[in-house]
Amino acid sequence: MQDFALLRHITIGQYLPGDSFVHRMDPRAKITVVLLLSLALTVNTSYLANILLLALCLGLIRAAGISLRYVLSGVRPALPFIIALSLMQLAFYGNPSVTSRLPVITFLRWGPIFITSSGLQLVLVSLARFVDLMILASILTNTTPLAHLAYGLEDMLKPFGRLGVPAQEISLIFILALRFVPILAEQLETLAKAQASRGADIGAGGRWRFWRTARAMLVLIVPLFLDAFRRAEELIVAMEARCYAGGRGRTRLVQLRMGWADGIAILICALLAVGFIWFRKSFPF
Amino acid sequence: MNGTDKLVRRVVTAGVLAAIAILLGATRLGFIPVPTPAGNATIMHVPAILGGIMEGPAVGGVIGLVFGIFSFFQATIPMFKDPFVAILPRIFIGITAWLAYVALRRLNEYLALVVSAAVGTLTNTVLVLGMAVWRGYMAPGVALTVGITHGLPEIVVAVIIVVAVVSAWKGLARRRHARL
Amino acid sequence: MDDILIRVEDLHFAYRAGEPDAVPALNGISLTIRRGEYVAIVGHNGSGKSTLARHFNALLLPTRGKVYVQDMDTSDPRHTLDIRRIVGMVFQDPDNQIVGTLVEEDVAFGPENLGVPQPALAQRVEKALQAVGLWELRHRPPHLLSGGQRQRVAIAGVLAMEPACLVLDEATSMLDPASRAEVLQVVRRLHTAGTTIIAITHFMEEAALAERIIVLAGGKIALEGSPQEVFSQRERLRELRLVPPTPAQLAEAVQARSGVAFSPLPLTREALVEAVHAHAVPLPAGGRP
Ligand SMILES: Nc1ncnc2c1ncn2[C@@H]1O[C@H](COP(=O)(O)OP(=O)(O)OP(=O)(O)O)[C@@H](O)[C@H]1O
Ligand SMILES: [Mg+2]
Repeated sequence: MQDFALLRHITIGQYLPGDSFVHRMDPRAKITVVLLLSLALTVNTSYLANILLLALCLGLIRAAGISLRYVLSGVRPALPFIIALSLMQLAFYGNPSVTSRLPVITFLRWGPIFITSSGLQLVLVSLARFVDLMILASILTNTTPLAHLAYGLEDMLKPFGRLGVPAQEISLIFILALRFVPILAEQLETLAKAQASRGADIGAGGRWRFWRTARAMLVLIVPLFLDAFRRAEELIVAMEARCYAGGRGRTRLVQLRMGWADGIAILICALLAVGFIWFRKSFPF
Repeated sequence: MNGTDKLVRRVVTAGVLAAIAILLGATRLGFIPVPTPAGNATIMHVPAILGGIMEGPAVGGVIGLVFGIFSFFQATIPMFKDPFVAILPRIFIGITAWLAYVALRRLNEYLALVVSAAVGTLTNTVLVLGMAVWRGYMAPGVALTVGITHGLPEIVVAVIIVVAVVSAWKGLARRRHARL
Repeated sequence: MDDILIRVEDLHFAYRAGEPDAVPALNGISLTIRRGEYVAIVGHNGSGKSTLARHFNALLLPTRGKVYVQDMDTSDPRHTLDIRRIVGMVFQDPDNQIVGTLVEEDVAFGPENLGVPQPALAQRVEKALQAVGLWELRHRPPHLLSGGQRQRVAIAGVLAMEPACLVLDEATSMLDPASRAEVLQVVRRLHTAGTTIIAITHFMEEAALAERIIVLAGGKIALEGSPQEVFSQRERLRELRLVPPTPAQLAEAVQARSGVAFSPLPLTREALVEAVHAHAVPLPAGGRP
């Protein structure tokens, strides 16, 4: 039960106010930088490239004034799981495609188990990438209000409007989703309390009492959906009453502004990304 | 008037269902314990299936996108901190669910709902695991095992929820004449 | 006659009109709302209040009859957006009408839809938030506000479209008494400043604040007049299953016991206290009015 008690204060993508350079960057610039670096990360499997990229990401998080400990704080409970997955990755993936000029050493080959140096490289690179992406994600969600990310996305998608991409509508969907998470969380809390007072035991049970637990959850989830649909009907009328008729011709209160610094940041990251992608096979190790 | 009517309905339905997907991801409610080695069946993809069934592929796709983006940001294990695994596959959940639904709706409404829920769930399982293999997080054999132990209970749970929600909502709508 | 804002002529409306399961909701309503007026619409559940209200800004269109807003026919789609801008609507549950994740972004939603450019947009937002007394809270997320504050955000969202008329469909019914008083105070201020108010309510104390009350029953106008006129018709009200405001009931009880006739009938607490004073109704020793 106490699981649901604090739902109202649920936070998604905790914005940490601040005045760093990263905070002040235009959301569009941030999204671009993160996309470029993610792309570079995605295609590089060499040790050296990943060390460089990791250093770059660590530099960025430093510049944002957010501690690495905070960024990785969510990982701790998942640690056993991560280790287990990494061990499996190591044990069964003997033959991955990683770029390396180092000779491939086979450590162990026994039945389906096949451990090689390139398997090890894959595991280590995956972990480094994971840390990089935790940092990049945090740069977006911890230094920018989520609504501004939606507006940034909207402005970036606008040029594709001619191709039928409804940029403004997609951004409004994001905003509505953000707006309704706390409302539905509160509703869920109410539903959970009502069920608990009727003796349903949510959360207890465990997987061997599958049906009981599943039923207890279903009696919460189905009404939650119905409540959401009821709210949607009301919201549709309210939005029509406020003259909403699609994205065409709309203006926006929040205006994003690109500065010099944003342009330079994008340029540097673009050059880095191109470099990392172009030379991905040329790193010595 | 009718055109914008539909547009507003789509935008709002997508927003509200995406909110549920995010909420399910942020609470334990998104995972239903099952008696298989997998331990948990996720139902976070169900809003995308419902969106596809009720308002078509665009709505289903966008809900999947929003859900994917949030699961990417919230991920605390390497596999799901990869946009190819966390985001891309989710976009297709609502689309395949919609395809299955319109293909079978004429035949039988309930059959269409059941198949659509199953197809949407399979899309999620197969594409996510496929991507995980392709991106090197999982060996193919491991992925297959996970797919079966997770996939089957997830299909069962998704079918139950989809059928329950859609028939309850249509029943309510008929009784209250809620649909204008 | 250009001081008439809304003109309703023989309005009939049925949900799912033309289908076998059609639900007739309005059965021949004619009325006019003058500019600057404060009108309350009352009636028991299902009498058609919300259905009527939604005709005032083209959310519903007549099955038969006509509705004109500033002489624009609501069934003409070319006028839909103009009409919705002129007649703003506030609903019961603030949670289901607030769109933005921050107060100021929500208030901007209406004018954004109208295509109001900056800096006029920001000015409208500020003016609307000042009018409901929430300017200081403009950077808050709505879900962390009280119910009354949220409903004031919803009102500000409508005000930012600079409407001539505000329709409140049971806008206070989900609020606690303190929040309700907050919202009513805002409404009264807006009325004083010239906005036309149409308030749908189940609270007769609230209806008594209006200049005119329209009572609906079965999709028709059952009774219409000033609060004085309406609340004096005790028999008729009973038939319509409506209970006059508490002060009026008290006054009538006092009249019945003491034989003094209160005229006009006191409808608010203040008016009751005044009336009792004026008539110097003998009170038990030590009692205070
Ligand atoms: N969407 C709808 N579809 C079909 N019938 C409806 C719909 N909405 C309302 N009705 C019916 O129309 C009639 C008038 O409803 P309306 O909502 O206007 O009443 P109301 O006076 O606002 O009631 P309340 O005090 O409960 O808000 C009722 O009989 C109701 O059942
Ligand atoms: Mg009503």
